[in-house]
Amino acid sequence: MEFGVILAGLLTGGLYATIGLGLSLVFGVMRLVNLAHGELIIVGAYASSLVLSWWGIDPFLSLVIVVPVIAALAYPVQRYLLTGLLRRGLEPPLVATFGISLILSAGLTAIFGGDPRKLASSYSAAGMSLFGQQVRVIDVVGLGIGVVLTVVIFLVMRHSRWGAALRAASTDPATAGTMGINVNAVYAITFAASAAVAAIGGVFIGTAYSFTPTSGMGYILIGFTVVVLGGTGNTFGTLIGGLVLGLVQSIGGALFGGEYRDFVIYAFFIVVLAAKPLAERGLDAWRSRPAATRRTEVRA
Amino acid sequence: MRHFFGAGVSPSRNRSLIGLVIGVAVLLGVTGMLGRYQISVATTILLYIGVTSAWNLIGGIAGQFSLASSAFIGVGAYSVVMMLRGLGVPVAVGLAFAVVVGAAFAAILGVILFRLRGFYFTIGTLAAALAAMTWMTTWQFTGGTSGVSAPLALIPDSKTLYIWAVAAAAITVAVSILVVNSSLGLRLKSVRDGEDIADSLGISPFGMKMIAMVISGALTALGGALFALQKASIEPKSAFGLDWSITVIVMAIVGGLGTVWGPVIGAVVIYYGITVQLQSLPAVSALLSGVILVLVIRFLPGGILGTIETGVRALVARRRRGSSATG
Repeated sequence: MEFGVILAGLLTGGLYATIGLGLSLVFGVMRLVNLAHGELIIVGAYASSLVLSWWGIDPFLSLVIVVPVIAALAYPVQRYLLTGLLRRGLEPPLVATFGISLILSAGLTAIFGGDPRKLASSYSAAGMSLFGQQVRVIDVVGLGIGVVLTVVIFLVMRHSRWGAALRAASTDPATAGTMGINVNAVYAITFAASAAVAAIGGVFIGTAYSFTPTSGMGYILIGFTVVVLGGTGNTFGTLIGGLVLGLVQSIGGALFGGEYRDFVIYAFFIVVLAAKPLAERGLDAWRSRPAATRRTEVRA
Repeated sequence: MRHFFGAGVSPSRNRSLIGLVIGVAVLLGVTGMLGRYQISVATTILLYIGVTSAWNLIGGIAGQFSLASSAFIGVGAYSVVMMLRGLGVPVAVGLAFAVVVGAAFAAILGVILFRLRGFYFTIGTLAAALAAMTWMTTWQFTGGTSGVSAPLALIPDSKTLYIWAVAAAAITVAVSILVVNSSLGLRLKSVRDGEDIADSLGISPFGMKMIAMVISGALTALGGALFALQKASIEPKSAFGLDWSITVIVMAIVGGLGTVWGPVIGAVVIYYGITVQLQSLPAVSALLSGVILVLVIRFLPGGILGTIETGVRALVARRRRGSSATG
């Protein structure tokens, strides 16, 4: 196997980890499967393109504006819609996020049209040499974003009061509530943080690749694959899951031809999901959870 | 068969079947009065009623939230077109072939995906749907990205197609009626409501889900095949597009999940009320269906049908209370 293929896979893996991190956050904390996560990513890309065309602000600088705005818009969605639905079981929140994904992708189509776009920047095509291989600077940045976000999320979760509140609300919402933790607020902040991570991923995708209002569905599947590979609630596992998926895709593309790159991911995902029973999948978050709050996905 | 669907005749089953027969008679009776445009709109509505009711079997009654409808639509569409093109068989044979391929594909997917539960299953079906679509774009036998078209001489005219659509919708709704009012339906619902408890009572969750999946896949493929005949030419992005799964789920939930007539109502309301009215603005109509979906799940969990039923029950109860108080 050529070294270039492996390197390319690892570099894309950084983006995949970023996508997985946002999903893993909401899934790990409140068992919410956010089917709109892919669209949140794409919303980030479009928001950045607006900032770029209005004020001529560079895509990565635009994060300063885009990330808080998207987080602020995401907060009430969790607080006033999804949290209430979580108490009604598995399906209502799933359907609601599905509806949100439809609203976002249709809304983007209505506003921006369906043509692919790209965030123009001076560095999106620039190349550099890494370990003797010619690579795009932007792809190295993508890996950097994935690693930095992983470390930041890990540190916040493990070593801050807020992270402690979040873990408490995740492990046992009722007890956390009696201890003075505002579980509803924690949930909403988690969702907002996940949307912020999505927006960062979206701005990166916009600069490195092109995007359309309907690109989200493909990215969400990548995100879920990463989460399942890495184990929910395991931040470094998510990073490794992203890198593994990047490698699998890159190697698969090299073996079978470029047009099978996406197919490799879908097939790999089904194989991973189906080959291992859930209980063995290293989902450490499941084990630390009291039996009463464990949902039916875990087979005895 | 009697054992399978359970003994005894349920009055609600008979009422539903009579309603279905009357509906079919009316639909066939008005065939001659419909203009070209009306025929095509009615055909599309009927096909949506069919595929939405078919999804409801697995997604509503068995509670397995599948996103794979698009794959079955595509499989049905390609099966019938390839048969008509390659072998020049009559339409009925092509449709039967689509049903068989749909059932077989459902069985294969079921064996793999029913190792997963809850939302892992949902995400697995999403992967399967996207995998099927990308596979079709690379498969040269079926024309790759540019797709294939059915030979025009073999495509039925719009009136015949309308009658086929009436038949497809009627068969699917009849299957729904029989399943809902049977012990099979009860077993499916028990798997939906408490898989482990159902298992401990001697019901095989895997077996039940497989039955629902295969029936649903076969009927969805039938709908897909007729959609393909309506469009005459198909390509992967439209035949296997996720829009199918999205539309079908919106229709079923807005109408009333897990009921016989909910999907029928949902298909009519969403397609005729939104898609047709906003024909020139497809993005706005998709946006509106998303908003409606979120509002329904938040405020009307039973969908349109469930809300009407609750309302009628409340009215009846109030009247009873009122009459007993005065009398």
